[in-house]
This record gives sequence, structure tokens and C-alpha cells, in this order.
Amino acid sequence: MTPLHQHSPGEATPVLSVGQLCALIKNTLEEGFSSVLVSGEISNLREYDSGHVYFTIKEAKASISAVLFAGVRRALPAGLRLKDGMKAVFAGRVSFYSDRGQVQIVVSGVTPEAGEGDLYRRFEELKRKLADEGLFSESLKKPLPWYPRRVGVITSTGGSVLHDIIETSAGRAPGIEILIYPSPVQGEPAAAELVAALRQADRDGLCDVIIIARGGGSIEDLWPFNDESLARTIAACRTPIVSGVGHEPDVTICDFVADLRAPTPSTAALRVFPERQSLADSLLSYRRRLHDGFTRRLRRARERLERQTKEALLRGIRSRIEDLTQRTDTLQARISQRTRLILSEAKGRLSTLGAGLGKHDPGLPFKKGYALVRGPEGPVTSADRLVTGDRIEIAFSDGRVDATVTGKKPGRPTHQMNGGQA
Amino acid sequence: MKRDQAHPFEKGLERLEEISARLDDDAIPLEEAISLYEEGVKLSASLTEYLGKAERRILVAPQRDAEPLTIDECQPLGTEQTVTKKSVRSKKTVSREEDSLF
Repeated sequence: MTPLHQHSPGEATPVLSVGQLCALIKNTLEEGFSSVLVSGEISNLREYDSGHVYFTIKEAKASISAVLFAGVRRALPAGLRLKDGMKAVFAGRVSFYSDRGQVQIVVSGVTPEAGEGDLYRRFEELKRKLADEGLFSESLKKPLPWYPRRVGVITSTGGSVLHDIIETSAGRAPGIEILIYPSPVQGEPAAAELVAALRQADRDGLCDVIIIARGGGSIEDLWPFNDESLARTIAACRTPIVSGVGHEPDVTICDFVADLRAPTPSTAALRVFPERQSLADSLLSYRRRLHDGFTRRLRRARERLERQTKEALLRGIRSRIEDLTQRTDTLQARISQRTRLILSEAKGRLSTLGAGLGKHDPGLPFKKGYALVRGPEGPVTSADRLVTGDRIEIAFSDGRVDATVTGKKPGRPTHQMNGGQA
Repeated sequence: MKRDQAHPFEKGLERLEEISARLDDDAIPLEEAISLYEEGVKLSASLTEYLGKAERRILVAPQRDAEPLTIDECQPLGTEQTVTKKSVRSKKTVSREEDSLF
């Protein structure tokens, strides 16, 4: 297909819509100038909240719009600040903004011309030197105190910076003293004064953390904070140092070497002074934890008490039963012992009695020769009861005999006499 | 100020953490739990009250070349202009009561 703008002679010129024309120009321009270097001076520089920067690159009788997008701007070397009147070589591509029919350069790099970039070059050199020495090393960064007792502030007492820090910290956690070490923050002697103030603050040892701060300004204004001696002093401090210098995009050597870099003085205060509300919140959660912990502990104690009471009751009953059992056993033992004693006593007495009884054996007199004499009127107990001729019965242990009295003799019977002889 | 000396509020919070952790331990005797709980409640109340305060001091350090400053030599902001560099000793003794707050 023949491009619309390369029509052959004689052909009718086609009518394009604005959009079509813009698209054609855009293609042609952006393909033809995709990478350019242009030397010129910045003018009419405008910064937007988005971070994009718009300006005009101009020389005596020519100018072109330029845009530096925020992402590219952040990638520019630290310390390089664009400003009106600055001469530089701009790298970029040409773009056509169809909405306005405007040609502009989308800048991707800025190299200030000799003289213009002196401070910037010195900044870069010092930064490289200190970085090589390891002064920016993360391992050197001291941790900030969580709740400082006293905060040192090195800044000018004249500017709004001190006011900003005091105001910001007023809304934060209470009871933190601020000790100000006044120092000029701008002009020729500022760097030396900052060094002296910082050395004193660190030597005094009165502060848990030190903020070194100043408000925004040009690279020249901020230059004291790019001082090599200040950087070395910060690195040598025992006290943690927070830098809050300039506005968000401003970066100084001081920022690199400080233990914490805050983009602004107020931000530095926010980082150093703990937040009141979060402390109140953590107190509240501690209270809850205390309450929960104690309630749980109480509940456990009550449960244990109940369990122990039950166990104690059971144990009591059990031990009472054991007591009673034992007492019964003891009694039983005692009873059977006693019984055995009584029985053995009785046995002894019985055998004694038995022995005694042997003496009264009714058979015994028979064994000695005595016999029972019966007359007609029963047992004869006296010789007088009998007369000669009486018939009598003489009983022995093993039998009886009948006899007749044949005569009587006076006198007492002798042991030699026996019934048989009667 | 010695580095190992924490802010009284921080010390208070640390104690509160200790108490809470101890209360979480079931093994502690009930009497100890009760006294810990009482201490914790009292402490958190006084810390909360402390948070509500807006008191603080803003001081300005007089310039010194060699000898370290003491805090008593520093003047409240706004009054430091009356102090010359030579009149180093401030008669004003500064209350340190906040150290014994908790």
C-alpha cells in the first residue's frame, strides 16, 4: 500500500482527518528521532505533584518543549537539580503529543555543561570516594532508640524547620525532651558549624538520637550538607543520627552517611518520636492480655480446687474406711488372742480340776480294800447295827457277795481290815 | 544519659510485657498471679495516663568546645538568649521526676 503522503503526481491529494495526520506525523517523527542529543538551556521549568518535570530547552532563536518523567528523574544522579538557566546536554527521543499537536523531547538523561555541573560533579566524586571507603555501609548504621528520652536537634533556630519538628513531635508520644544545638545551615561557615555542633552533641552524650535538619533549597543552599568533614563526623558519632535535609527529591551526602535518611525535617521527627496512638493501642492490648491471662488462671485455679475438694472428700472417706477396717482387725486380733488366752487358761484349770477330781475317784476305796456293806435296811454304817446271823451283801467294784454275820468284835477297824474280812 | 537507661515509658511497657508473659504461665502460684495482675492493671493505667500528658521540655544547648555539657546547663527554648556563653551554671535544678513515674 502506498503511504498516504507519498501519493503519485497527478493523483488527487487525499483528505486526511486531523487524527490521521497526527498519527502520520507521530510515526514519522518518532521513528526518525528515536534517539537524540540536544544541547540547550533550561527555561520555564515546572514541577508537578506527579513528579514529572516540564521545561523548555532553548537557545537564542529556537526552543523545544521537554518532559522529564518522574521515573527518569529519580534515576538521575543524586545532587543533580534542574533549574532555569542551566545549560546541559539532554538525551532523549522526540515525541509528538497528538492531543495538542505538540512536539517535545522526552528526556532520558541530563549532562550539565562544564561549570554548570561543578557542584554536581564534586558531589558525585565525594559520594564515590566515601562509598568506596565503606562510610555508607549498612553494617555501620546504628539502630534508632524505640522511645528516646531526649532528642538532639541540630539546625538553625531561625527557620521554620525547628518549628516543624517541634510541632510534629507535639502530636507524638509525650515525655521526650528536645535539646537543640543551634547551628547555621546555610552559607560559608555552615559546614564547620554543623560539624562543631554535631561533635558537641555526640560528646555531651545527653541525647539518645540526633536529628540534623534543614529545609529545602537549591543545591548551593544544601551544599554544607555535602561537606566531607560533616560526613566523616556523622560516621564517627556514637549517637544515632537521622538526617532530614531539604524536600523529598533532595539528596545530600549527609543522607547517605546518616543512620537514617528522612526526606524532610518533619518526616525525621515522625521517625524519631514514637506514635502516641500506636502506644495507646499496645497498652490496650496489654490490658486485654492481662485480663485474659488472669481470668484463665483463676478459672484453672477454681477447676483445680473443685477437683481437689472431690478428691479430698473421697480420700477422707477412703481413709476413714481404712481406719475402721484396721480398728476392726485390731479388735478382732485382740479378741481372738484373748479368747485363746481364756481357752488356754480354762484348759489349764480343767486339767488341774481333772487332777483334783482323780483324788475323789469312787473306785479308789475299793482299790484299797474297802467294800460297801448292805443290810436288810440298806447300807450298814456301824457294827452296832448288825447282830450275829444277819445276812448281809458286800459290794466290790466288780461284783457283790452275800455273807452272814458269824460273830462281833469290839474296837476300831484297822487299815489292814477289809470288807472281805468282815 | 547512659545508653542502657531506657525511657521510663519504655521500661513500663517492658515490665508490662514481662507481667503478661508470666500471667500466661499456668505454673505460677495463684497468689503470684493475683499480685501480678494487680501490678499490671495499675501499671497500664499509669502508662495510659502518662500518654495523655503533653508535657515535655524543649531546651537549647549552650555552645561548648571541649567540656561536656550537663543537662542542667541547658535553658528552655525562648529563654536561652539571656544566657551568655560564660554563665554556664544554671541555678535552676530541673526536676527529673519522670524518671520515677512508674
